[in-house]
Amino acid sequence: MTIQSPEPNDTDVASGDEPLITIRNARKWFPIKGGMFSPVKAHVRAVDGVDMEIQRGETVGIVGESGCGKTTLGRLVMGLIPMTEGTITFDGDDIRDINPKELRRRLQIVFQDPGGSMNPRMSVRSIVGEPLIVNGLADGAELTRKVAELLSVVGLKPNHMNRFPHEFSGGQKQRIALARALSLDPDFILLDEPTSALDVSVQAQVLNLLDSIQKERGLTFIFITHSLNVVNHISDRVGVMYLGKIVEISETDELFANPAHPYTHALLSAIPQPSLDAEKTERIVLSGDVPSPANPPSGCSFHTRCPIAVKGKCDVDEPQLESLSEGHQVACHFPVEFGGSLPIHTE
Amino acid sequence: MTWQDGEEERAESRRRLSERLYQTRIDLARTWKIYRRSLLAIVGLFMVLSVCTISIFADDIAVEHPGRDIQDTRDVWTIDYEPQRKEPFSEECDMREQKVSLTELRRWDENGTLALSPTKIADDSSFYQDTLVVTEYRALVDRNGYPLPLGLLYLEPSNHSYFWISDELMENNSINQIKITYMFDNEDMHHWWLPDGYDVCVFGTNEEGQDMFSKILYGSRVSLKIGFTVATLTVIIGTVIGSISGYFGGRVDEVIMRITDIFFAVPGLILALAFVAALQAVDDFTLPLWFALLIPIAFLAVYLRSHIDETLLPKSIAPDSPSDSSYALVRPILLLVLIFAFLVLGPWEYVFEIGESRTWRLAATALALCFIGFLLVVDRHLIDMIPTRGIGTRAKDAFDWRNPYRYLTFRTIVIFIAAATVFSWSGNDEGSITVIENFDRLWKIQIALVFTGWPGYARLIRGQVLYVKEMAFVEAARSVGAPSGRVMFRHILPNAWAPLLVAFTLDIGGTILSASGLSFIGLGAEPGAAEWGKLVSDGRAFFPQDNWLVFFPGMAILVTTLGFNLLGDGLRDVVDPKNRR
Amino acid sequence: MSNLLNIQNLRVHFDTLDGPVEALHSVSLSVKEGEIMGVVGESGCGKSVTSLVTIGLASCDVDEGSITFDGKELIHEVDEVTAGTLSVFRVISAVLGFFLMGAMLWFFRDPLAGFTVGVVILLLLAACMIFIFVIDAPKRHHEQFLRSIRGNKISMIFQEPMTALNPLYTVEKQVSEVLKQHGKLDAAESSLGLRIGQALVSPATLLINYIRSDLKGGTQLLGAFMFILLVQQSGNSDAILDLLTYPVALLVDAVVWLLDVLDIIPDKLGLSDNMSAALSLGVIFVAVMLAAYIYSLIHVPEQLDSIFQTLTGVTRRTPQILVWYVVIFILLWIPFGVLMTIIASVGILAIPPIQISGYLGLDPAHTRQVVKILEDVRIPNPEAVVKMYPHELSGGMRQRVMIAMMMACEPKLLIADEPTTALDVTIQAQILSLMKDLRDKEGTAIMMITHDLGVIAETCDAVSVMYAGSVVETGSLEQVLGSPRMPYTIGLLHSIPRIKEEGEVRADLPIIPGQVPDPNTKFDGCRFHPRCPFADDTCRSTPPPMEEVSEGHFASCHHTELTVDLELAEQAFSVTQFLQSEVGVQ
Repeated sequence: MTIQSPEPNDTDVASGDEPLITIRNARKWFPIKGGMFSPVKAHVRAVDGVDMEIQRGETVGIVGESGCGKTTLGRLVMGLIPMTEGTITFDGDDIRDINPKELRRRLQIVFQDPGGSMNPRMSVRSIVGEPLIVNGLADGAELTRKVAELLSVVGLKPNHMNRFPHEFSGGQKQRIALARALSLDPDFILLDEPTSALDVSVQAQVLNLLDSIQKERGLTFIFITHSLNVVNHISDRVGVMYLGKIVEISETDELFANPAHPYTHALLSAIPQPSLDAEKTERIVLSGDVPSPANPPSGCSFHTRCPIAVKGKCDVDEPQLESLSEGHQVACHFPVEFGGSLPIHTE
Repeated sequence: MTWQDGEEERAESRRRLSERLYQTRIDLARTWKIYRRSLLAIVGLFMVLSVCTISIFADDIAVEHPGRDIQDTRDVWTIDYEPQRKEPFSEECDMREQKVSLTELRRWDENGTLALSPTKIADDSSFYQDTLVVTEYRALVDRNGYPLPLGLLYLEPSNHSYFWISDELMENNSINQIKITYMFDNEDMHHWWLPDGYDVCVFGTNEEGQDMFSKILYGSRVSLKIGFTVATLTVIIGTVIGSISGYFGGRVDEVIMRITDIFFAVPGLILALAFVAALQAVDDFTLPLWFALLIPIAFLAVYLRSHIDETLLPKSIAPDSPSDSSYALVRPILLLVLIFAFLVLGPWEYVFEIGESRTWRLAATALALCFIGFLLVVDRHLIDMIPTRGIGTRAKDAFDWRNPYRYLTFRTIVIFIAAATVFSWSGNDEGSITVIENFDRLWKIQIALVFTGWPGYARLIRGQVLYVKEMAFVEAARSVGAPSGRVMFRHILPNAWAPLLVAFTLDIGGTILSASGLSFIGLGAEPGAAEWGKLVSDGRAFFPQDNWLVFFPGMAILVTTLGFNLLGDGLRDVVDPKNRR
Repeated sequence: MSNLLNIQNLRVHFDTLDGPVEALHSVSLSVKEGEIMGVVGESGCGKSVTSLVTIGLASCDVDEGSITFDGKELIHEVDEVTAGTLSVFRVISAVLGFFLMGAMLWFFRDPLAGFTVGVVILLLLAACMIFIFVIDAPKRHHEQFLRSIRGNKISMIFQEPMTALNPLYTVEKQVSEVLKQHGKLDAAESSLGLRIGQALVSPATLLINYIRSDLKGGTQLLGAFMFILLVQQSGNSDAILDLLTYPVALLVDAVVWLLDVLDIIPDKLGLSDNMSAALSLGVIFVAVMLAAYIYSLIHVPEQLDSIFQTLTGVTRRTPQILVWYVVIFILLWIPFGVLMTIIASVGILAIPPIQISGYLGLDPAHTRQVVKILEDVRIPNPEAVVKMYPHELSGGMRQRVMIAMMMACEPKLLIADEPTTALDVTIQAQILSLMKDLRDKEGTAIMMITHDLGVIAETCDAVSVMYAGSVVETGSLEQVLGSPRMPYTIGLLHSIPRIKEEGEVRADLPIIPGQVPDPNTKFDGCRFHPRCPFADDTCRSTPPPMEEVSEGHFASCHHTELTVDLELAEQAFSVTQFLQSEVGVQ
């Protein structure tokens, strides 16, 4: 069979200032139906109006708790789920207009559960080579060569390609997943909690690997996680999500030094630090549980749990993302002052 | 490009083949290791293997063919049946009580008689009797059962098949009929592999004098055939429907599941009754040739479509195609269904009837395939706007003659079988293909059991497909752009079929039991056929005195069903994901 | 304070497909009364196995070691002789069982002989069983003892709150079950008989309550019932049935007419009967398919779409009407007597048991007790939560309910196996502070198993670090986190990403190269030596002793003198040569 060479990537290197990905007012509402023939009762608002820009070559971390919509946002950016509303552009083109095969090639994804993201019945060669086979880019001996190359990039031996996923440890499996993501030479990789299922010592190895690959290939990452330590280490900018909206987004150091949104404060104070001499600031314990995304609160979606919510304002008006300072945006009516702590805190 | 250039590719293919074989070997070793942990599973395997061996070698082991029809259809002769309802290992299997009509002998002025077997019916429906070799002359009674002195009769020393009747008896006109009891050389009915004394009438004989052992051995063939046929057909139908339902989800899933519920509600045995009654007149199942040929053509068309999609008109050269993923898989199916509907209702039959020679039929098939291919290319070209330039060169380059190992795939086998079928059927003289020759009652109950059996598998596969569909690797495959067909056949189905194997083996046992039950009621095998349920039913009248008539067929059913059940249980351990395959 | 729980030299193995796998090699740790001990380690280190063996729920075999709780031994040693005798007798009883079946079959042939043989075998079997019962007594007593401890003195909360609660029972039922098991329920208020009586008359009260609450639905129901009663009694049911079937008959007629019309076409074409039927169906089929195909290609204009919307709005009610239609049809069609019998049987047979089970649910006194327990774990609105099912609660609430269940009997030791791993960070904070408060109030010792060193730092008093099946370092929190002496602990602490100070440049994270060894690998010496920068020949050949490096601080290492200076030791891990060594990639 004739081997076709990969299509040249349409990267416009000259436009260095233009962001790679622009997200404008992205919304994804999942309908809840009563039954097969009943009309739609309500919507689960997984992503409820997100605006973001991602520059080429940077790593944007997205943190939030379960149910905040970060996974859905990632899938929207990848084009795996259609949006209910809003636009996402990739390299200047709306992703709906880009040829889907082209889209798949330039945006790749690494999943959370390394074991589950690989078909247990396929050899590593088939798993890593599947993107190439499916796109008709390599086959047979050529495929073996390419897979060997990719495996050595991620730090595995080429003869591993004949083994099966269950013979590898968690960290090695995640490396294989990364090799698969790199096989089509993408511009962008979505990392959906890649280290959450790994041990601490292996996590460090994988994070270092991601770092080196990013530098080598000039990749852009979105790193979804719920661990603030990891996101602090690896990302250039961090966005905090709550109930489908981005409540604060800024550069990493800035966010951790001067958090403005009360939720960010609560998150930061809730992380247990693994050292004796961590400043034990007063722990801000939020009351109640996360509201259901099918029925979000009126006004600011955080007001039901916010320690400084003001009745009449926070439960009526929805705050928009506003710039506090260069590169630091917050969606709050009463953002906390720089370097300050929350005026009222429980416990 | 010469043969040498392909050496690298060939080596690579060979290496991958050997890897796959090696992996299969390891898998089998591991399977055996898990399986043999359970003693009951080994017992089950042993039972199943012995039943299968018996059914294969039934001709050699059995001493009597059950097809032997000894029923007197005209009720003219008082045919003396063989040892009726004799106990296992009873002596009387080698014994014969021959009635001799002295009146007849006197008429013909003979004073001796041959030792003859009971009247048998030959293949051409003529009656005959075998000459027996007497080993021991036991008793002599008259018509009313009063014993007569043995000395009245004596064997011819040189020919042990001939009895001389003494003059005393011949002239005694008060005795007109005598019954001679003697043991004869019954080596034909002795099993050579059993010890003497225990080698004849191993399971006794039934009412008509037939050897139960042989009947049970031949019955295994019937039961296993029923079990495997029904199980296989239900698995195929159930898998197809279940995977469609599971994969598409939504409305399609709901509708198919409600239809499945309707089939579930139908009780199997009652439906079997109905089928037998309704299809009473149907004796064989034939398909007209033109219709039958469409089946292999359908298979070839499917592969033609994927060939066109991958090689001749790959999507990767399409400019900007609107991705309407909800119709991605539906459209080609719809297209093929439309084409075939058109062919069935339209000109195919007439085209076919034009000539009856093999050449014409083959040509017609090739024409049909070209027509289908043309329509598919046109569809892709017009709807998806994929350019057709260069299609000729791509068609030439498509077949990689330098690397024959590439074609050692399932796809090639199917294409080969389809082509062979077309070839052989096109040489058919009659205008129809006989699918089932003897559409007897057994077939009808098999159809009934298939009819009610497939919903179980559909449900099973649907559940598994739904479960596997949510796994991350399926999403991963989709995210790299794998088409639905690949996702279905390479990712979902291989991970979903494990419980199917268990259900399959258990179902064979259940089907054998159902079929035996139906034969017991009288619905299954025709009278005289060697089906275990029928044997139990026949022997029921003589229970509990002659309990071997019921016991041995019952044990046979027990052993077979139990064997399959234990096998299924053992397999369940093997496919259990907790055993970390 | 004395040791509440003392695990000494525990060694266990699992019987797997590939032979015995040693899960724990040598685990020694102790928990004092009222202390929170953290057991930290990575996957495969054996921390969960340790906890399961302590509470007696593990499916592994203990080779050696002892676990003492409050002075009492928790591991039951079965000596080989007893085990052997037991298995022999079990086999004998199985064989006797087979023979019994054979005797039953023989009974059919020869009744007398079969009967005697059967009786003899039965007696032998009984003797065997009694013998087994007697021999097994110590194990049974031990099991009873363990059951009295579980939930009562030692409790355990598990990792997955989503699946740890039984989805079939309400919260109050599950919490009270624990109390009931250990006899700590308050006295019941109302007697059982009274409640059963209430349940029996409940169908009537049920009906009255329903009609009172849902007047609209109730009147509809009553109206329909009256209607059917009248119709049946007056004998007009047939007429009404005809009326109801009239639309269906019309529909059938329409279909027949349509088929007749379509028949004209093949007649005109002069085709045979079979072909004509096929052609009619085929025409319809092809037409529908073509329409669907064309529909899939074109975009539906908006006006058409809105027409579809109104159509679906109108037909939304159709299922309801259809259901009413079918129900009335059936009720009229069934003869009245049969109908009454059905209603009576359902009412008398089915409803009371359901009601009884509901009434026997919980006594109000018990409910109050459960409410108080839930208040102790700070669950908001406990009266409502008590009646809820687990699927109605969120993850954090479920974990609290679990904690409540486990604290209900006021245990002395609470084993928490990764209690907050599956929860969000903010909820985790709540749960951890709750557990600390429980310790302060009740004095419960907690064995907190986790892989998150941050959680350990926040909550624990003492720490044990486990690696590959043994405890490698143990001591107080300050000792282990402040001055770790075992190289694994040092590497682990060093490789956790930390929140950087402002202005700090992001550098590569220091790692421990390689990965956790396979449980099957045999080690002569230290199990960490392939990954340790300080390893030498001693480490490869002899197992390291548990050295007491300072008061109460134990480390299992040959070279604890090399790790006194923490910074130097950390640097050893960052040496490039070590990082790039072949140890890393296997």
